[in-house]
Amino acid sequence: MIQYFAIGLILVGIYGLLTQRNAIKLIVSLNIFEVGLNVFIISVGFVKDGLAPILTSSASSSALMYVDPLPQALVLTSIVIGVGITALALAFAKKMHNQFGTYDLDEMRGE
Amino acid sequence: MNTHLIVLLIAVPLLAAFSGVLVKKLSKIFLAIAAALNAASAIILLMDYTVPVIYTVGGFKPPFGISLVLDEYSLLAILAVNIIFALVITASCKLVKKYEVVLSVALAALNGMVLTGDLFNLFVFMEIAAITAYILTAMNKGYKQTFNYLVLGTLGSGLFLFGIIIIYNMFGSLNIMDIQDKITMQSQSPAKALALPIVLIFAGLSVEAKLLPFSGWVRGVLKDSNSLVGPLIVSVFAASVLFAFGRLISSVFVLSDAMIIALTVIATATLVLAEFSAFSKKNLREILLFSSIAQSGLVVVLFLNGFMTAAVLVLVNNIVSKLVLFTLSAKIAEDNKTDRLEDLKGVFVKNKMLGFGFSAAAMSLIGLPFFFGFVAKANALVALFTANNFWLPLIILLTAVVEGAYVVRMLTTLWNTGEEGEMAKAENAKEYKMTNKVRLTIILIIAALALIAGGILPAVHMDMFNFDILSFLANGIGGV
Repeated sequence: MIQYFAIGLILVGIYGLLTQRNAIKLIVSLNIFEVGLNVFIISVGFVKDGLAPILTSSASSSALMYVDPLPQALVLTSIVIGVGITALALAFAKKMHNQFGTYDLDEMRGE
Repeated sequence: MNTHLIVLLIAVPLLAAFSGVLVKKLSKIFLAIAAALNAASAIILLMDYTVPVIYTVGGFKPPFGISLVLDEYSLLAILAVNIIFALVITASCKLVKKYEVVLSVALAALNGMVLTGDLFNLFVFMEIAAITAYILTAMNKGYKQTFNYLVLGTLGSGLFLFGIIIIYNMFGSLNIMDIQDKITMQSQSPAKALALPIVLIFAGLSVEAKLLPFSGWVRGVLKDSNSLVGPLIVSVFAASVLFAFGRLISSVFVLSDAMIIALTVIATATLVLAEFSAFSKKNLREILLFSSIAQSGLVVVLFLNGFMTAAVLVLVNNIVSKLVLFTLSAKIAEDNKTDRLEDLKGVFVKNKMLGFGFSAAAMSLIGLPFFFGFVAKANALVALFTANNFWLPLIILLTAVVEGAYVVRMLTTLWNTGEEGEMAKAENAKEYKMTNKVRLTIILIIAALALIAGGILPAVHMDMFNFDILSFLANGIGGV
């Protein structure tokens, strides 16, 4: 179920990227797309009734059902990259606003 | 062989980047040292290479940890990437100012992309390289174009990540060789199940590889690029992405016949449309950027159809020729404030050595005999004909005619002073500004001579009466 929700978010993000012309809205759409992707990655490691993947004195048997920890590690990296890209995109949006006085890509002249 | 050199190709530029942040005054020296050490390491690895090496990072054995793979394929890739990177920053060292740290990070990421044996690690290096590319392309203040590139690039890398997560879900591994083993062990071909992730990965890589319909960013970003950014994006970044593309196509991609046809049509459409677009353009950099898109299409066509040697040769020919052509075109545009062909009539009359380098690279690009381009294209055509494929050679030959037409137009305009039908006289030549001529000449002549040597050496070494170009090249570049 959660995977359908994630794919829904990804599609909302792509819809935003295709329809919006405002730089800030495009960045928001990119973020929705990335959040959907990150939720999808997390959902891949999900195990119903699974335990946290930490060996403790009460849960030390390999026969127990652990949640896959790898997607959680991957999603951390993906979030960090997403933050970096968003910061860079916002910096470019600010520069564009300084140059053209608008955030609307269609209203920017003098390519 | 000292295997630690493999990881140093990534670690040394990263160290240079961090040191450059701490000691800003020395960041240019750090970059120069990193670029020189990387180029030297690549050459040492080539000389010492005997068998493929899998370098485990941090002692975690694959598939549990990240591994770097040095085989004939990645060896050629690191040679091309590091040597061309060093040449580009030497040719345009004045433009490097304030971008030393970004360039050092880019060098680390580009090496990582071609060496890594892990899919997620490839995604991370691709993203780092992409971020550096966004920053570099913003150098000429074209923020709108760079923003478009960023949006498209981020969407592409998101699709790529989506694809590799689906593959992880299917095989429980991110290690390319482990996935390859698991694919071969399956009793049924997983081509159908892999169709979705492959399409996502293909779409993701298409942005950086400049394939249709994701190549919209290229014109905006590169048509006004300077002599540092243009050659870097067209030669070094393109080389890394296409080498990574080839690695995935030959290992993870299990393609059904229908999928091969569909993806080949996309790559062929890129080749044909980009060649015609290049033909219709009047500015040097625009012609070259469309030519670069077309060559990417050709390389992907060859990779998709399993002609690895031919694809690698065409790719190497393209990146070395484009290094010369793009550097010189951007330099002429920087010094004379125009790159319109009509405004640059006879520019080489008083710059004969630069003209020689440019002409040699242009001739190699179209594949004339005695240039490396001929060896590359002949190999591609022979491979395709041997595989009983007649449509693709026909398309390649037709596009080569278009390519030849615009390259000849470009050369005749740049070498001749008069109008059409008039006698070209040296005394009629206009004075064109050209700065840093000596350094530029040396670098471009080295690259041009390499292209000529690559075209002549196979003919000298081969038994002329037993012309087996395919096996010679396969052996000559290490059996790729």
